[in-house]
Amino acid sequence: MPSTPPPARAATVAPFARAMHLLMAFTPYQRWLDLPELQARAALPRATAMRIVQSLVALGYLQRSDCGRRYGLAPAVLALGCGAGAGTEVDAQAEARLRAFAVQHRLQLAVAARDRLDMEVRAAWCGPGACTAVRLHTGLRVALGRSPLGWALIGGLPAAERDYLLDQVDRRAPARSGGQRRSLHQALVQLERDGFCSGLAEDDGQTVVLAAPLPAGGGALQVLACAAPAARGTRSGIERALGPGLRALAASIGSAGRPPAAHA
Amino acid sequence: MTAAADRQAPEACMLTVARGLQVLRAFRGERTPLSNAELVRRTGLPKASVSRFTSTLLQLGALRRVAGGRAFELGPAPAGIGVACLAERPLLEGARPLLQALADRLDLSVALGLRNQFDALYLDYRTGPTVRTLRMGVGSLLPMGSTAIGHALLWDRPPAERAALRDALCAQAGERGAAMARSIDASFAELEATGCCLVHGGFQHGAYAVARPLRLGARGSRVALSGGKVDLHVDLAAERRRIAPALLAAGEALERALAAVDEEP
Repeated sequence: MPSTPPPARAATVAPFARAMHLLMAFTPYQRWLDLPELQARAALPRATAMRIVQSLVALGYLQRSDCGRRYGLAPAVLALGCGAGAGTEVDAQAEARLRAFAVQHRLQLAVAARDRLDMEVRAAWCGPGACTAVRLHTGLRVALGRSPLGWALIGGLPAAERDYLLDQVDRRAPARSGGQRRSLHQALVQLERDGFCSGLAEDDGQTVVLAAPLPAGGGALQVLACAAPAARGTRSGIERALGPGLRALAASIGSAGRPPAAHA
Repeated sequence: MTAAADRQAPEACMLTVARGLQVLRAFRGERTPLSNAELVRRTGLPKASVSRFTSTLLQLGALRRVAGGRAFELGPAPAGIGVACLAERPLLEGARPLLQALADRLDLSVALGLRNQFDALYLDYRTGPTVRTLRMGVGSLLPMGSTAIGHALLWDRPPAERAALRDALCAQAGERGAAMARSIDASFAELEATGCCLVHGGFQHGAYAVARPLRLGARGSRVALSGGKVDLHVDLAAERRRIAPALLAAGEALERALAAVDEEP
């Protein structure tokens, strides 16, 4: 058989990749590893492993055990981004219910959290036929003050935190229009009355987005949102059909006592 | 992996590893996506080097591409390293209930941190009952020159090192250097007089914190304890009276409770 050429790979930096492999060789169950163990786990020749381990010790990312023959991760590795990847773990039970809701109502459903002055979708589910024009996808970022995702979060915050964030929004965009202020005010009234808020997706004006505060573990707050095409009916009809269910789902998942979903 | 790379001299190897880790560290533990251009700005490395490092980090799962864009965000691999690092840490495990109790009692965000390069690195972070989204986390990096925890860590260094670090931080701050120097000196005077310092708005508009240094464990590891929150209408004098005594007492309790633990944090 003719051999197939390997796929082209972007240039990598070999010593750095090896250093990362060594850092990733540790597990929560093995805090200390000796050189042969590290060498085996990172699949490196002994001399190479030794040289990189020495570099990592000198840079403060690895530390030696008291006996001097074993190595462990030093606290400096925490500065490499340990908390950022840990956003919004939805446990299996909650995920099944979220997925079922998306399927039952044929809509897009998402859990979003605040990142600075944006809301970021951390997890999303798509019901049948709802993925043709995806509005809520993992990684989507929308400005805090300009979508139901942000309004629902703001509405669920204690007063001091809400005031602070709105002040920050105004500092970033001093010309926040009267229309935007009005939309936020209406959303807060709706949240107070109905437990959810709604709005049209800013980019197409053809999708109704509903959002409700989602209490997360450790006192954190996120948002549960869904998106449905406006063609399904009037906005108030979509609100009546989906809003109470969304609010109830957020409340039941939020009270289930999940682990902290923000930073560790 | 090439044979040439295997023969790299130790000094060159260390420099390469340091630069690559500096690219990852440039995300400062935050989810915000960064482009290669922004990483060049943050690290001072050449564009071609940053591009090779981000390619390497993508392949390792330490970074991922943001959907529909050219920017990168932190991937899952650093979280795995962090989990492995934090396991079986008797000092941190022993400190955790005391930190949480302090956060609950004062309704603050409470952090335990140590110095890492020119930043304060959070080793643990606990929040009080009404802190919903204005949160940092384990692994967060806060600038030493403009935060209470940074000033406390700085003050706790030997005098010559403390002065050199202060000068270096102020020089790095450029036109903000003079204001930073005044703020650091005010914190040093406060630490000298009371054992803790309060910084308001240095890092984030509307945020304030009180911090104190402490020595943890049988090895006397230098760390600092801070408690703070965000409030645009704060009465700082009242908050100082409320927080400082509790923070000083909590620090002493931590030192006593963990005095026999013969470990680094």
